[in-house]
Amino acid sequence: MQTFFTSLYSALISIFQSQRPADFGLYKTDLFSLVGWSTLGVALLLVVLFYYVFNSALRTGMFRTTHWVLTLALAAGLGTFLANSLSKSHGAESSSYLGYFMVVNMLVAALWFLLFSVLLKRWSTYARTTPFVGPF
Amino acid sequence: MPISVSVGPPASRLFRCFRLAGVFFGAISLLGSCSSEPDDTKTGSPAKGAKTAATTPTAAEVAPLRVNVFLEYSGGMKGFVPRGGADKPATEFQQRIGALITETQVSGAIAERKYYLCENAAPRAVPFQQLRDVVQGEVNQAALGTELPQMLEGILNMPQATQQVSVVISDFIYGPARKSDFSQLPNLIRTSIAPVSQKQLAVAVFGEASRFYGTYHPAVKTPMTKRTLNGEKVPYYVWVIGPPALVARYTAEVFKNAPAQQAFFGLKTDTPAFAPLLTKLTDPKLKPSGGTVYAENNGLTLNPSDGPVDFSVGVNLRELPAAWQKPAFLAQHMQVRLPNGQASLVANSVRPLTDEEQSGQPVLAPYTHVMRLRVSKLASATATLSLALPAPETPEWVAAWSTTNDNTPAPRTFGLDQILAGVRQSYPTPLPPVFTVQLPLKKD
Repeated sequence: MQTFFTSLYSALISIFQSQRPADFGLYKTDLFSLVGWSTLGVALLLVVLFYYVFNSALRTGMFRTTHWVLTLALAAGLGTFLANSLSKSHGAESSSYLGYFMVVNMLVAALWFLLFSVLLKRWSTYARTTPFVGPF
Repeated sequence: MPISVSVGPPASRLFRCFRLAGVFFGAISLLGSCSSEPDDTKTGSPAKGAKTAATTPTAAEVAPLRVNVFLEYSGGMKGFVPRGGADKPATEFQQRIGALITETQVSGAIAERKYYLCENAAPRAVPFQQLRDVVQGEVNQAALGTELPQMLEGILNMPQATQQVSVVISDFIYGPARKSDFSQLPNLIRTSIAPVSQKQLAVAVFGEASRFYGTYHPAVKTPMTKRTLNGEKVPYYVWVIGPPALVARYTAEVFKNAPAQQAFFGLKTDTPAFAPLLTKLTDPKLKPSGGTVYAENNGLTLNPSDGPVDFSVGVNLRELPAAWQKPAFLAQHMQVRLPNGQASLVANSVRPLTDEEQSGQPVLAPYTHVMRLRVSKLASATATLSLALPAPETPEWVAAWSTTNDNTPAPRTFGLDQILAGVRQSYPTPLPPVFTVQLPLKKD
């Protein structure tokens, strides 16, 4: 899984910047998998909250696409925040590479959120068609 | 109320979908763990050590420094140690050697010290006070003295002489009883210091000219067999003989105030602390430049295909003699080797670190010097870069301080070049490097 995250993130970041920073070893051994797992977890947590807590266990009425998009934006924002704070707390230096990592992780968080939404929405009581009907 | 009605059926649904989700993510994590385990053993754990790459034994681990000081006290040495007074300044010999034996006596770097007078072949142990009395001229009678090879042989035959540092202070004037011995001077010296060849001990030679008051006994006895000097300068020498790392430590930590004329043979330091400096640097000039370079698995991963990669390395040269710590010397002598590639030392990049830099940037604290290395080509997937300080050959001052006729006193010694040739022949050609450090490289 570490290899997966490393190749995912380094491939995506290399779209913006091909040169790797002096502390790339840290990204490779620690940060990519740590941030990768955290982002995955956060996206999943938000999907579960949206579909099964606020729209199954509770009837909050927040099933509209607008609510879903706001939650997606929250996931993306948390992705950016996680990439920055986890990297800094593990000793990464401020660099353009870290900046692009934040941007990429924002997209990755949004993608995870979309993926989990599509996979899990059908078992939701009130939001099974948010943001769209199907495919399951 | 409406809420409580709807809780029943959704709760069971919620449970069911969690179960489904659990199965789904269990499968994902299983897939994940399959691929991640071998990967962890490959890259995960060793990279942690990258920060402490190529560290060296700390001070506590190195062998204790045991020092024996030998002062030749013959008639020929007496002139260096005139009885002074408030109106007579001490000779250079008295100043330098007085300071050296005092430092040897009080230095915390030395675990054990002993003092000897060399009056004949067997050195005589004396307390520190007596040796100091001799240096300040408080002792009147001097012995006849012994011939140079016998004196050296006697010193190196002392018990455990090859594991300790022997400091020999003498004028190193060779005056054999049999005149035919002159023809074999280098060989006689080499034989007399045989343990230097056998155990590859190091010899450090320091020379200084000192004012001389008294009877001077030249090696060449014509036209005068001896002269009375009144303040003319003649040379004396300090030889430091012992295991290479201990000689390096003694010269660096104890004989700090050494005279300018220095020659080192077989000197090797313990592997110095050395590491590439890539991160946590505030000085932009120290940061890597060029292409990709980063630390990984105790080495560096880099890619010089787009252009040369420059990066700084820190190295601790505290144990080198002061003259060898100078940036000009290091820039001239340091050697960078990279088989299957091309690497060099960036010109004018060697410099000592200042105290402010060491305290301001903690990554620099373990090192005394920084230099920049440039990797411009890397042909293979992995390679080992080595940074070495080859030992310099006999320095030029030795020839200038040598003479074939010392009958007229001058700051020259009879056959010094031959004496030191005997020392030089105790080592292979070329001399072994003073130190070598290595850095594994990987192509990105």
